[in-house]
Amino acid sequence: MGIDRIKYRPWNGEKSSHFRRVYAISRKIFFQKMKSKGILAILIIGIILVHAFPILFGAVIPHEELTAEMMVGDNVLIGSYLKNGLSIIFILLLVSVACSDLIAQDLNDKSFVLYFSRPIKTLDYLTGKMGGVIGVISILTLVPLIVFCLVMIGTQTGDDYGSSLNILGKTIIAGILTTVFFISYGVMISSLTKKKTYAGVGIFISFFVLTTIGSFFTTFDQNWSLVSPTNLLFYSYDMIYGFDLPTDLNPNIFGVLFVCILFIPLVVTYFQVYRIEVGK
Amino acid sequence: MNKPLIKTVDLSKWYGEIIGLNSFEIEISSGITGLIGPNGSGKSTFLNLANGTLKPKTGQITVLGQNPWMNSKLMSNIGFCPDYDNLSDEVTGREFLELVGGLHGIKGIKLKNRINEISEVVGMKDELYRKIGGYSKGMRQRIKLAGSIIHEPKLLLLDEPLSGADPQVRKSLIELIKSLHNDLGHDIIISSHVLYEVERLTNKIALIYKGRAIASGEISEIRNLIDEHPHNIIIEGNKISDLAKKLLDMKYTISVGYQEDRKIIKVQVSKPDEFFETITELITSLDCEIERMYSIDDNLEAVFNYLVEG
Repeated sequence: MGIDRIKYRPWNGEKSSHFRRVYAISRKIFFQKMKSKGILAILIIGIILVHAFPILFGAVIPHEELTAEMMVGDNVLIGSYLKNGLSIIFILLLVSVACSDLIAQDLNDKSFVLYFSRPIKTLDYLTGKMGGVIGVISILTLVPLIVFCLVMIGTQTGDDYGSSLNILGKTIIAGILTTVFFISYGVMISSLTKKKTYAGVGIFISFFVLTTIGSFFTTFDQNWSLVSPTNLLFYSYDMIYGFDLPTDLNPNIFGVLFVCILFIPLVVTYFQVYRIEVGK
Repeated sequence: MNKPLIKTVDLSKWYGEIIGLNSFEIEISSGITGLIGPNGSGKSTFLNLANGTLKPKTGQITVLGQNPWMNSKLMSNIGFCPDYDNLSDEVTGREFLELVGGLHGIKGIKLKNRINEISEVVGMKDELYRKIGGYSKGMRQRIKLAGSIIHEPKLLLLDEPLSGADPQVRKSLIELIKSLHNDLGHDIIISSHVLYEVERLTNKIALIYKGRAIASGEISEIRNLIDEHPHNIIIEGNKISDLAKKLLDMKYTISVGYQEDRKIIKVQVSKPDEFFETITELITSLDCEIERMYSIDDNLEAVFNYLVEG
């Protein structure tokens, strides 16, 4: 052992590169997740079962242009590409596996110190963690949607590309919304327990519990269907593509629940991490 | 006079009904400072307050002239090596250092060069592409140390870096920590519950007991006090019966006793410094397989009681 005094040159670089520090966390999370065989399996099977057939089908079926009905309506050829129950199951599976250890693991092995004894704030930490997992989930929630739209635009017979590109833009918004929607929920559950198994199962089960509750009470009042995260997401797709909410639903309740399910988990996660970072 | 690296005024931290630090007052200046105290005395609490991951309940702490709490900019000047091991077994040493370097905003070729430099400094250059899960205890400590110096901090906080390491690893880690100060100029605060380990690094210590700083200054006076009490050391490993016999022949040995299947021996010595000077040579010559060696430090407890009462 020993140090070559001449060879050693202290690092004097920039120490406050904010984006770089958040990116370092995201990069670590992304590559760590992409090495997981379970995640790779869900991604491959999900893409094949949910997306491959509509993309191939869309390419060979004659169509004038890409329409909103193809994405969320009841198109005679494609059906409703986005409102696909199987897709939700695969996304939920992926989120359960990818998000379960995101915070829970750090709670369990005190890895918080690795981050917070360095120039990292709570928000940087959460942004970095979520950024990494957004990259992974997007492979199932955003990338295939863009591919589908591009294939449909590339094979359309009509010349109204402006309208098709408009739908592509809305589809990207819908894909981003789906990703953030599921991840904010998954990260919150992960921040509530030290055991990643509990978090994984919790994410999956709680979605179905909410869906069941929503379905059960819908017989009394249609607004109860909004308790189901899946329904809430599907209705928000309608809004993005310019369709109206069903008339028997209260738009105010929809708005409040939508904001709640999207933002309350993020706030809970922030304060949960902040509380733990502070120490008891 | 130099500004203190760390200064606390009436600093207290408690967890529910458990007191971590109690009206803790200390000033630590440049160099290597040993923070000595038995387990549960508040050493880790103090270091966590210094690195900003804990918030004081009352009182003040300033590190490099600033309040460390929620002060992420200050963390660019502090390197912290925790006492526990939270390294992911699935990543390689290089991946770990890339993450840590990235957390400090180091990137690209600078990061690559910096990782090469510090891996050489900590003697891990050839092990960087191995997964951390396959590292030995000593390697894990070294890679943690590398992670704490990657951003060239002014102040290094090392929480029990020698804990649980075998004698050879301890020796090499002590050399490494010395070189971090002597050659690279880091100011270091190192916590330990074994005075004789710290004595090899510095003569400047602070004693901490039951959450209070009870003495600080030169190590020699404390050492004289400790030498008046027998020192108990536990040695764990295989083929240690020869070592036990050999130790009985040494002048400094008061007694040697076996515990649990003759794989653990408890050695009571009158002159710990002589014991620590000769033990590595004995182990090497007898070809023993030592897994752990640590001091029970009953005697240190006695000295602390003496100091508190005095």
